[in-house]
Amino acid sequence: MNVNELIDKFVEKEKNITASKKLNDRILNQLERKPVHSIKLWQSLAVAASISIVIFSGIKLGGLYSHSHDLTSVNINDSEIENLNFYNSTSYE
Amino acid sequence: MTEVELVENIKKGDKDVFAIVVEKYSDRVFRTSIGFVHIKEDAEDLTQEVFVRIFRSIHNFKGDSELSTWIYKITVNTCINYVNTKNRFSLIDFAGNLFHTAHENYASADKNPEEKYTESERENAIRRAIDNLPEKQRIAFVLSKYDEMPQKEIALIMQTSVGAVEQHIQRAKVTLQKKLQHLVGK
Repeated sequence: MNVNELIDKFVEKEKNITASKKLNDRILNQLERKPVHSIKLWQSLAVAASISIVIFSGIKLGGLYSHSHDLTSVNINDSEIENLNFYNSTSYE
Repeated sequence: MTEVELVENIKKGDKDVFAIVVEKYSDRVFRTSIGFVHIKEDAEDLTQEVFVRIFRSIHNFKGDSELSTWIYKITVNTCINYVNTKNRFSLIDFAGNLFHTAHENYASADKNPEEKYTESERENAIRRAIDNLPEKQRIAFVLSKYDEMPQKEIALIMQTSVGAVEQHIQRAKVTLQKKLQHLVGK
């Protein structure tokens, strides 16, 4: 069998595949359904613009916050805490 | 009912008249789709998509060509778009083909496993070779082989000359010969 015959055999086999008997009904039923509207360019742009505005506003609002400069410091240096043993000492009495 | 009357009624939204068109052309559209996708379920989906497109864009049909030519143009465009989109997801496609082949092998129970395997490999090679043809060669090949369409009609669908169609078909045959030469004697 040569290549052309192999191809013809393959094509004939595929040509024998038949569609489902319900295909025509399926097609006509599909026409009853509302077409799905494709997303238009302006809609995509509107969504992209909204996201950009939200991000920009977030950054701007975040930038507005500035903490106070008059910081009150708390001394947490242990070495400056008075030694309590001094008061417990008997010799102190 | 003449073709002009048929089209006019469809333009008015008459679905009963459109059913006549579906009845008349669905088998041919399905056959063309099979030539491009090779899988029954995919070809059915494509056939459905083609007729939905035809119904929704019938207002664009000016009657410059025959209705059948216009239907075939839509069929070819739909199939090519589908194939190009599918190629982008070739991994899914590969898995689908694998399942399809395995299912077919299981279904043909009258052959022994070795015969089934050899035939399946051969068919896959032919399918791949057809699918890898350049677009114009592939369109011309499918329309001439699967639909047994005369070159004149193919030329109208492809909007080219009869000579160019002949050349596409000839080149397709040569390409397939080269790619499938290894199968002879298997």
